[in-house]
Amino acid sequence: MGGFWAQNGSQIGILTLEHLWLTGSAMLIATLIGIPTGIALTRYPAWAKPVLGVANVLQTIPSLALFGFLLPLPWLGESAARIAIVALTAYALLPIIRNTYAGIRGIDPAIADVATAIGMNGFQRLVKVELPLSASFILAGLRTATVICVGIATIAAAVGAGGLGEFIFRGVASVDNRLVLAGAVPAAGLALAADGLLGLVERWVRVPAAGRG
Amino acid sequence: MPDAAIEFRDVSFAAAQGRLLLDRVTLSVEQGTTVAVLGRSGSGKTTLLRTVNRMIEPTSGEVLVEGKAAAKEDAVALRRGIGYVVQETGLFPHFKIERNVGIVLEIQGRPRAEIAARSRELMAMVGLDPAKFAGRYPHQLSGGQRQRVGLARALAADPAVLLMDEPFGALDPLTRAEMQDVLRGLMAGLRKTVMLVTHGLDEAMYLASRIILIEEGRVAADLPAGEFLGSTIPAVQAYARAVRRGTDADVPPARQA
Repeated sequence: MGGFWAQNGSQIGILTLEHLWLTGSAMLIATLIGIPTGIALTRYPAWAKPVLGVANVLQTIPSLALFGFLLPLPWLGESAARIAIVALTAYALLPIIRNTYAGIRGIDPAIADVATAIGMNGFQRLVKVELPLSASFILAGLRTATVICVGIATIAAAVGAGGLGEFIFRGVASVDNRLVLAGAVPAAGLALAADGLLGLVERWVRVPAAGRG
Repeated sequence: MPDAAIEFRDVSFAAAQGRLLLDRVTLSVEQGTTVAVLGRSGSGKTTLLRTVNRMIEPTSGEVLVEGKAAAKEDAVALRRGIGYVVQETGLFPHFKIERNVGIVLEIQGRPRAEIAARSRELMAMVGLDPAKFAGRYPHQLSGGQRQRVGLARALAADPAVLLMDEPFGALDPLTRAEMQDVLRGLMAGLRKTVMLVTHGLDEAMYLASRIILIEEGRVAADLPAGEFLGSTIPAVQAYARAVRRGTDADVPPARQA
């Protein structure tokens, strides 16, 4: 067993970094798209149902199938990492958009009303009132999305995008549980670490006491 | 005759379903006076108040604030020039008290030192010791203290006009009386124009120089406070009777079970 780790230790490190890179890039893109989209939906609520519906459908596509669908596309198909990042972004969108939208909509309407009545413009209301009061909600969405991404990223190895899934697929193919574990354990650890870290941030931004209506 | 600080000219407002919430209201509130607006729930008094700072746009007619048509002003700028106090839900739960008071100045981009000084001055003015309360959050205060904060916030930018929508509605009678005293004391010194929406006839009589009774979106009565109870207008008499129930000598007390 010791020999196995000595042999594969550096590769576990590299694949973990690759895994982090895929997940991190996808989360960054999904956050940059998802939070503004969630905010926009609170301003145009008529769009909420169709947009959340599309995000919902994206999430129901089996991940292996989605990777497959993206393969023949021009530019995207040229790089496995690109495919993986686009697919992971698609999966991360729903929890981020949904929680941003629901978080802001869930603020006590009296508070939002007062913000306007005392002369805040739309941007001030967003930055000073709506985002702080829904921050823990939005972060909970990011947390869910991150855990989903870390998990699904293991499947990205199927299209050659690398990451810890490589070990898992290799282990399954050669019926070697040590290889499966070498991929699965760090992947689970990553998910737990990300979840814990974001959980801390979530607690830190929580509004003192009964802030929500 | 002093100029009107707020003027309603033939103001109507129809809700989305077509129900008329304000029906050709014409009124004026003189500079530096306090006017109370009474009426049933749903009579349109809050709607009337909210046309002043353009939280509601009249369907027809015109509202003038300090002689200028509100509809032609920039809504954000207009609101910054008008103090606004509501029932206790109005404080920002994630701001400490000092920031809650100073927020009106903060959104105008005033210098930080000025905001801090003014917030503390106002806290003292409404009877809250800045050293003790500045760093607390709204949920750490009692209902009466929160209402003081709300009042301080409304006064922060030194507005000429103050809109108050049942400001003390959620308070117990003793705290409410205390707050009425605070407000009366402040108003005597500051000479603001105040439009006060309330259910309490006693509150209206105590704070306002004029009382307006709204019924189904129309002005049913517009009287000096001193003449209100003696009025022969049926709507006024009905209101006064309803408020005084149980305190009149000729009413038998409720039977014991």
